[in-house]
This record gives sequence, structure tokens and C-alpha cells, in this order.
Amino acid sequence: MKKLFILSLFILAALSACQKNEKDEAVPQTNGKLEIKFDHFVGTERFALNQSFTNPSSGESFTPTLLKYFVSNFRLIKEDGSEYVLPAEQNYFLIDPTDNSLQKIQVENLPAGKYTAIEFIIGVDSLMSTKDVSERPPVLDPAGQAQDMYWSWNPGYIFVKFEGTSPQSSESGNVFKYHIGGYGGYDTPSINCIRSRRIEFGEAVMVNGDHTPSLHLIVDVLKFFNGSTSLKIAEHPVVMFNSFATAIADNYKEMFVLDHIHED
Amino acid sequence: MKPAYIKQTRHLLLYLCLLACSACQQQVEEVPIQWQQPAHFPPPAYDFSRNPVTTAGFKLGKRLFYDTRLSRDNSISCGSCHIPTSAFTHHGHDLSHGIDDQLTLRNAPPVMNLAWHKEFGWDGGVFQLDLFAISPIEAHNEMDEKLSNVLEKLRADASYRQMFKAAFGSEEITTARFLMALAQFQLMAVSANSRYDRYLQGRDTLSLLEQEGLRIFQQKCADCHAGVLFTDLSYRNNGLAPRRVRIEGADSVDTGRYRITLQPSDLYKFKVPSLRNLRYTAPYMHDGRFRTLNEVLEHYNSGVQPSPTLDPRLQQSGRVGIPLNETEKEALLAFLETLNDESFVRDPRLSEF
Repeated sequence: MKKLFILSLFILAALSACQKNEKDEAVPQTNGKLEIKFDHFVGTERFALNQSFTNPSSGESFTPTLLKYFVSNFRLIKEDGSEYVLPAEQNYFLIDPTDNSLQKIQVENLPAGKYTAIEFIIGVDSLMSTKDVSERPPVLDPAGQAQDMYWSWNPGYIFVKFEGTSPQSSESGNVFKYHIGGYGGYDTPSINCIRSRRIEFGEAVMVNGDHTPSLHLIVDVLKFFNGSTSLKIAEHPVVMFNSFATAIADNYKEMFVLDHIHED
Repeated sequence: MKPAYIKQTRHLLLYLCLLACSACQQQVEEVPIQWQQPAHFPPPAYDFSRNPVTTAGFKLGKRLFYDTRLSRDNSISCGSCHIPTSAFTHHGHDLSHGIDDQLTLRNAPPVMNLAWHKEFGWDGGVFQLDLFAISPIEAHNEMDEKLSNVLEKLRADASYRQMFKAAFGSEEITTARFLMALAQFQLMAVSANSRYDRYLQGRDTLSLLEQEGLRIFQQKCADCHAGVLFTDLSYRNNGLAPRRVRIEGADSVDTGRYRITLQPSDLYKFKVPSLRNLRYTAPYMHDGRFRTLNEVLEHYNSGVQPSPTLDPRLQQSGRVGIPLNETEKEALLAFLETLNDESFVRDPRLSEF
């Protein structure tokens, strides 16, 4: 009996040694980085301010003068289904296609592993939208980067701000203005324009210390107009905080698609 | 050569003056600011643990409240439309005036007992007192300034940097600190010392007419103008016919709470205002359309307009409004007078000068 006990101990020891060996033989597991780039297009043309584009679906032409939006709550999904969520205070980003420093997100300290998808929100979640100002990250400071992206009378962030001119607009100066936001209401339900987008990589992307893959997303501004709802400037030259905004949110969610991944 | 006793008297006078002055200064400096819970009030809604009112924070908030640098052209301050002697309203203006004499959308509501409010403004859109100030600062027809610019102006002023240090421990002037200091000042605007308050505490009596007014009030008004705050803080349509207004340069109507929730059931609803200090806060209603309390009472008696969102309390037993005869009105007006709080509108801690 005693012998049997010793034997089983020996086997257990051997087994655990085995497991250890297996781990040791794997590639060194160090945290890595991931870059996410936002490339803005209008159909097949590069997006630019003060340049005229035509929407082939509606025939309307438009000249953007401003485009800015918030993306947040990035989570990275591993091959095994587990997720890595960025630390809350570093998980809010303002994207501005005219500012080179605001078209790229660098995810630092990403646990090593094989990733197959990302998920993020276009907008700012309700929790952060209603937090004490002192607890919000600088990117959401109404006197900082979030200036002009904040409604003070009905406090909350403008998730997507898109302005320009169009001969089809009946507004004075032929302007169009889309200020889309609304996190669902503080204590009375109201419009919710938070939209979540999941991008599948179609392959497993390795993240490891010396390996910094870069994800190129294409943001096709045409889809702002052409989606489940066809937004016509002639019909809706100005949309701000009103119920039609949710239809535009359904559209802008589809703007983001994966173009390619640089595996470093 | 002057006689010695004249010289001595002079010295003595000078000394006395100095003593008096320093006593004054000491007196001003030595009264610490503390937020006090009135014994007969419910617990506050504001979370003071997050932003406790301190003497330095209050002083800073007070300076900010009366500082015209909060506006684009340094012309108006919060105190321009929220005048302490008018219980922090814009006395005599139906719609308050902003920068360049532009009309705003609504009548400036009093900065009063806000510690007990959960939402702010006539439509309750702002859900935290701290956040409120950004709205008038950035509204084009109010102060038309950028919050970031305001902070830049303050950062350039060494005396402000010192005050932020005294209040928050370092000279850093941030959005959160700026808003918290302003909130501290506003929180100190507590009106709880009217004759009615003293009556509730057994320290004063009401006349027979005032008591009759109180009885009618409890019967006909207190459902909405509830408790010691004289508001249940809800949003209601009290049957005022919507008026045309300009919103962002466009011809429109003020839809009230609907602007915030976009729920059709909230159309034309506004927050039930407190009835404290009505003597100082004319004109009345969200758009200041009534100059006198008589007109207000007559509105409830005969002017209420039916509409789908009209408050159910204003359409009972087959009629709209609240029937009030002249005797009842007189008694009600007498009672409402007991809600005026002279010590509040004359509080030297809150006044600009």
C-alpha cells in the first residue's frame, strides 16, 4: 500500500514536470502591442475636407467641412473566445481624419496570444457619459479634446459630428449638420445612438512582445448616407438630438470594415 | 511744534483705526463656511462626500459666480441673471437676457435649495449640479464662451491660481475643480428661514388668514408643490398655451422636458417650481408670462388649456384647472407671503458685494 502511494506521488510529479516542460518550450509569452488605423474614404475616393463628393446612390453631392467621432470600449477577442478589454481610462478615442495623430489607436500591453476579432463602440457608453467629470479621461474633458463634441444642456457626448455643404441642402448657406449622440437617457429612456461593431480578422493574429500587428480599418463615409436607412441631405439637412438620429447610427455602424492586417 | 497731547491723540486714533480694520478683517476671515442641513428639511440629494463645501472652495465658487470672464466678451456673469436680492433670478425679465442682449429660451430659475434637486433647469436635462455651469457658459444666447477659454483666462490670473490651490491643494485649474467650486457656492444658497419655516419649527405663528391659505394650499396645490421644498421635483404640463420662441435661430415652440427625453408624453412639461421667495422672483412660469401672482392663480382658475399631456390633477371632476374664488385667492396669497425668506436674499455670504 505504501509502495503504491509512493508510486502515485512519483507519477504525479512526473506529470506536473511534463506540463511545465510543455510551457517552457512555447514561445516566450510577453505582452505586445496592436495598432488600429482608421482610413477614411468616400466610396473609392480618399476622404478630404473641402472637396466635393457625389453619392452615387442618391445623386446628391456634398463637401465635408468637418468629421469627428468617438470610438471606445475596445475589446480584443482571442482564438479561445476569451477577451481582453482595454483599461477603462484608456479606452476612449477621438478620431479626426484631418489630424494625423487622431487616426490611429495604439493598444499597449496587450497580453500575448492569438486574436481573431475586435469589438468596439462608436460613441461613449452611458456609464462614462454620466460619471463625475473628475473621473473622466482627458479625451472626454468638455474643456479639452471633447470640446465641441459635448452637449451641455442635455449633458452627453456627440458621438459623430459630420458637417459640410451640399447644393441639395435647403438650409441657409446650403449647410448640412449631423450631430449624432444620445446614450439612452439618464433616468427617462431617450434615444440611444451607441452602436457596437465587431470586426472579424478572418485569421488568428499573433500578438507577442516583438510582434506589433497593425489593423487597417476602412471607414467609408458613403455608408453614413447609404445604409438600412437612405439619408438624403435634401430631406434631412440637419439632424441633431432627435429620434431620426438612431437610424443614422444604424448607418454609421456599417462604415467600419477591415481592409487588411499588417502582421508586423 | 504741536503739543505732545495732539500727537498722542493722533497716534491713538491711528492705532484704533488699525485695530478696527484688523478686527474687521479677522471677523470676515474667521467665519468658516459650512453647509448646514436645516432640521426640518429632508436629506439632500447632492453627494457632499464627493465635493464637501469648504471655506476656500466656497470663496472660489463665489468669485467665479460673479466673474464676467465666464462670458465671451467678459460682459456678464452668472450673477447677471441670477441676482441674489431677487432670490437669484433675473428680476423683471420674462425671458432672461444673455450676451449681446440676446433673449434666452426661458425665465432664469432661482439658484435656491439646489442641494435637494436631482436634476437641474426647467427641463431637468442636466443630471448633476456640477455639470450645470457648462450649459449657460457655452449657450450662444447666454454667455457664448468656450469652457476651455474660461479656464485659460483663469489660469492667466495668479490670484485665481492661489484660490484653486487653497481650495483643492494645487494651482491646477481643471474642468472638474472649476465646476466643483461653482457647485459649492450654489449649494450654500439655502432658503429655509421664512416665517413658514419658523412656524413649522414652532418659533412663529400664522395669522388666521394665512392659516386658511395654508389649508387651501394643502388641499389644492400641495400635491405638486410638495413638502418644504414646495416642489415634488417632477415635470408637469400645467396648461400654459405653448408660445412661439426662437430656438437656435429657428421659429419653434418650447416643448420643455420633451427636448431631453424625446418622449411624446413629456411634451410641454416643465419642472414644478418652488414657491419660496415669490416676492422676489416675478415674473412667473417657465417663460415669465405672468407678472403677478394674481395672474398665476387666475391661470389655474380659468386659463388652463387642455392638451394630451395636461397634468391629470388639472382635469378633475369634469373640468380643467383648479377652481379658486376670490376669498380663496386672497388667503392663498397671504399664505404664499409667509414663504418669503428675507435672510436668504440678504445673506451677505452670498451677495456679490
